[in-house]
Amino acid sequence: MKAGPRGLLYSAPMTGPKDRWQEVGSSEARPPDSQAWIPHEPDERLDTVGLYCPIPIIKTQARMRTMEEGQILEVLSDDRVILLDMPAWCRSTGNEYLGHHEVDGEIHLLVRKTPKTSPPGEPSKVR
Amino acid sequence: MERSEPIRALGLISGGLDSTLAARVLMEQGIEVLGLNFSTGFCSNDQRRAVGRPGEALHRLRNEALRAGSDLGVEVEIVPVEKEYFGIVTHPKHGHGAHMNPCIDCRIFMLRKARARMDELKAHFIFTGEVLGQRPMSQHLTALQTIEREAHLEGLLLRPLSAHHLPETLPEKRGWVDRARLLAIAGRSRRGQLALAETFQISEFPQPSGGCCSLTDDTFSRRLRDVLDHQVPFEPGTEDAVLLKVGRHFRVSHSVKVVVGRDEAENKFLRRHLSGRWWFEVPDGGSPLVMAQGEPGPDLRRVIAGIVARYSSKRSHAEVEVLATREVQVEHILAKPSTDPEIEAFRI
Repeated sequence: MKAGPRGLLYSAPMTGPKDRWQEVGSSEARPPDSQAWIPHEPDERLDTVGLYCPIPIIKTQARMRTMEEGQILEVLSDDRVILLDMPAWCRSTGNEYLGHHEVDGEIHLLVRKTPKTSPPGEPSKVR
Repeated sequence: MERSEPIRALGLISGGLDSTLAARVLMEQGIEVLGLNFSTGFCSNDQRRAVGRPGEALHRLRNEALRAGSDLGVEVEIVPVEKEYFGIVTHPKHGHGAHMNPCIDCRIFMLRKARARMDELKAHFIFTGEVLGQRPMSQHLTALQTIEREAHLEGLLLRPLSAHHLPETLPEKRGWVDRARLLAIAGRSRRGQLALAETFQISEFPQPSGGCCSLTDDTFSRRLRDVLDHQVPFEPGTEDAVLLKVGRHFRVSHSVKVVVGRDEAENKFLRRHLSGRWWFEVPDGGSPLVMAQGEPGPDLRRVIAGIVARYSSKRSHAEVEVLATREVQVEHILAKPSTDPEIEAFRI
């Protein structure tokens, strides 16, 4: 696993030619070059296939609040723009974006909860 | 300015330049900033995303509030308000703008929500990126004062970009915020904001400014008004709003409307909404997918077939075979392509 921008760890493989990532947009959002997929066993799964922005993020936000720090959430989506929105949401909230991989057109994204997910004033859950 | 505890400000963050700058101005003073963004169901970016037109650059469809939160290092919470917000759109106390945009009521609605969240998050005050005189309906002095009063935020609403043109707020009076380091931007010119963006080295923000609200769009607003006038079922927060963005729309009777797909992406989107409905296409030719909303009888189905023929690759033919389908029911209709005047009489 390599360290990506801002020290984030990406474990997703390149599933297509390199320029496939160019359409993703800013360099902040572009996963780095190919590496072996190192699976993370998610603690919970969230299926948002068929839903479009911002609903997958709203559902992720709500689910993460119920999870404990350190736990991993796998989000399934078929909205490609989530490849930009999910890393941005993680950087905004301080959660850790672990990467993604694709299976039959579905994008599987992994996010690890960090202490910052609980907004100020709300107790955070500690494992 | 010495503080025993960090001062926390909660802002409305759209991801546009103004709200980004407002947040940054406060962060420069050491204030902890949190952001709220409301999902109203009328964001045109979200709607374009649902259609999924191939080749559209993904960065143009991203959620700008999340992007801004990421760039600023500010947590932005997205709050779904679609159903409640629809009541503001249909019955705005302060009326609509040029189209279906209820700008003043929209601000009051969002700021009331923010006021409630402010207490939960233990924030000290609210801020926005509003600029005095920038928008004709909602950002003149009287409107700003009305919004503040009706959102129950008197003294607690700071507009950092125009602060010097506005009365001193509680955060300034109490020394939480240094008024001298706030700004005096006003008017429709963007020069002040662009200069500030350069100072802060902020280069990522959506263009053009003005947000992505479909309710300010003439065509979308006409179609939404048509929905309301004809009591078409409309569920906020679903793809019903996207359907108003997609295709060409024609009202062929009080109770029947048709939507004509303009390209393959729109045809594909419409296919998701055909269940229980009549839909039409020209076989063996370039044809739009045409979906009927309502219950067209045989006469109306012939009228619709004429519209389908008009937008097919066989529009120059005297008669065109059109397939009309609903579930397992299939009809073959020989239709004369509608003329432009006929079409225009139906167009919404």
